[in-house]
Amino acid sequence: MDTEELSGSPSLLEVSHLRHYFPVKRGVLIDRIVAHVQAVDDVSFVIPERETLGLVGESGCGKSTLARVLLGLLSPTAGTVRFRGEDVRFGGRNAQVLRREIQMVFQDPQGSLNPRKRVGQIVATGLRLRGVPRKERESRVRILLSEVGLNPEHINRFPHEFSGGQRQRVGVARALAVQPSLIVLDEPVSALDVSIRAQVINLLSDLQREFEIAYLFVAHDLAVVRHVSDRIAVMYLGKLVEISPSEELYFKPVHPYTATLLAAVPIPDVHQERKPIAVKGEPPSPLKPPPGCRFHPRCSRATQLCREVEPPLVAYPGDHLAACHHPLNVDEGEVTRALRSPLSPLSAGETMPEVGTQE
Amino acid sequence: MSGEHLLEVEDLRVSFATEDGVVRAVDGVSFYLDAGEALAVVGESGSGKSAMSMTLMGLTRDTNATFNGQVYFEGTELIGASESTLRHIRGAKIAMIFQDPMSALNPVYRVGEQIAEQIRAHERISRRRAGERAIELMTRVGIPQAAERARAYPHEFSGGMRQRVMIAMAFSCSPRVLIADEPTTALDVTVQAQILGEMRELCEESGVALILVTHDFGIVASVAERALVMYAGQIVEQATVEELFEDPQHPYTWGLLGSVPRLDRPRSERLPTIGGSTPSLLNPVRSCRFAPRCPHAFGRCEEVPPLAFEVPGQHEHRDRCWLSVDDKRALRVVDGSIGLAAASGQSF
Repeated sequence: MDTEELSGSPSLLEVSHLRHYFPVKRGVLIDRIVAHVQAVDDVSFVIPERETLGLVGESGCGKSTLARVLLGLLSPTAGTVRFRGEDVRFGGRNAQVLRREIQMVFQDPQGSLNPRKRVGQIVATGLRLRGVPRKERESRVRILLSEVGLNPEHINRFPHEFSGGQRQRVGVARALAVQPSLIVLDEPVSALDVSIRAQVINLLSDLQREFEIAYLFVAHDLAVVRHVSDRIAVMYLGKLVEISPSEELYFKPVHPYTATLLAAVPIPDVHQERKPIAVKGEPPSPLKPPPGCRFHPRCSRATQLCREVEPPLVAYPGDHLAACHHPLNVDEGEVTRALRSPLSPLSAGETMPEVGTQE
Repeated sequence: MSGEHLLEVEDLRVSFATEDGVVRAVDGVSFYLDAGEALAVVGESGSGKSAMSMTLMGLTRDTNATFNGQVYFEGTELIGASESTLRHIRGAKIAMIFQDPMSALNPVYRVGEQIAEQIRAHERISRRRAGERAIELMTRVGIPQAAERARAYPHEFSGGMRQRVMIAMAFSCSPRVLIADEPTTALDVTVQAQILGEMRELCEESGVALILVTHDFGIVASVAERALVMYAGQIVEQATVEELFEDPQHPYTWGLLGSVPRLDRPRSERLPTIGGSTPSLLNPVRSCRFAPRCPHAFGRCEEVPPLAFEVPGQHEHRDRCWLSVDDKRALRVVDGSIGLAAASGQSF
């Protein structure tokens, strides 16, 4: 697979040309499929061992669907996922193996814990599935609880006896119980209060260092994502528009959509100039995505080319990939040295970005 | 009482009798609001910020609720006012926008009808004229093809568009005060920026005073002129926004400011946190409410400090902390920026 050349080190997870379409059904008695929601449309990326990939985008961009496909909770319409170089067949026997390696922490800590089970039982389930003998389980659960900053004495409490932040810690302990190598965190802190959020973020980074886990951190809060991620992928309407090392993305966003997202975040500083509204309108429906570049109806730099040809993902120096015909923040030299990335969607055009097409 | 301010709240207390005991949701809150200004109320869940704003609207009418204190709006006392007095004020003179517009709109009525109904509830105006006004308002808050969209139902709108409908409804009777309770928390950042911009513009244009309830300091900085920080039912700090960001006095404010990762600063290794968790309002501690989580707490914190400590030279700026201003200015610096120092031996 050509993605390996790109990342250098062997990757933990390789996703190539992954699609997930939801059928839209209409009709009485006989359902006809009348359309598809293109929730994830030809997305490719890699996650190296022990790294955090942040995944950002607005609601409806497909980030949660993507997370669910990786966990095997939804099967992909097309495309492949390779885990440590091996093809993952969804639904088959090795889906079990995959579940042990990839765990998930959900947004809503209340809804994702069984209210009728004690936290000890919730966390021990993972240990049982991993084949830990019954006798050892309790002491292991206690260790896990203290790892996530909970009092091991609380092993017999029910989820409702904990606060929101503590419940999220239980969710993390449950994920850790099977010793995964990748944890998918779907908006893990957005339901928590500001003061508790920071505690959970610090906990996640401590655990990553200690257990050498990779994270896929799905969130809409750009400041939080930047804080935790090594690399960040930006999605818009089912497509990956930019993927780059975290700091690089914030200092020189190449895709206009990324720049828009960053500009829209209110900064807690009174001396910060009040910026004019960066983008008009809302994302269109993924039922009928616009042709060409999907961002063109909202983009101030859009040209005829953007309306017709889907831009390929272009690799700029510094491991920075972006899918835009009229990139921002890159100079002439960087554009001439840029290459079409093999992670580009199959339907993307061959047109490479030109220098000075705008501004 | 005085007629100086548009809205004046004096020692407001709201408590709810529950099976487990009395929940003191709002515990002695006093503040004022002037015409045309934007006041932010900052706090986490359980700080009493929503209970307070609902009380201002006369919406906390549960049988288990007890109110004390005074709320003067243009000289009229609202606590204990008759339902008919409140009906004239609520929705017309004081309007409100909620976090979740879907549950604030009636799903089985067309949005145009709902806006028109609001107008007709407060004004003698023909059904047809009210319908036209609704469309004008929808255009003004940035809903494209308003005439057509007025005939649509709430579920046919996106979250951002629904919140615009709520704003149109709030402005339909030319209010003097708009209370917005976390109006953009459920929205995407790009839509949030649009909605906040429009709300600010509409308020400025028509001289409406805004009370913006939020937990996001970024929004405070970009919208408000003054701010109140609430913790466990009490105001712990009040200041102009500039003073709050430049010279925050209360340890809880430092903690909040420090624990948010910021896009405009270099990335830090670890986020400063506030230890412990948000307190229960059921039988609150007798000491300073924040003392159990405060690394700087000392003997005197056994006693609740009054919201009285004025920062020299800052007449708006008051806080509820026994530490001296000089001590605070020294203690709040953690690793070069404002934050709450880590406490030793915190357990969860």
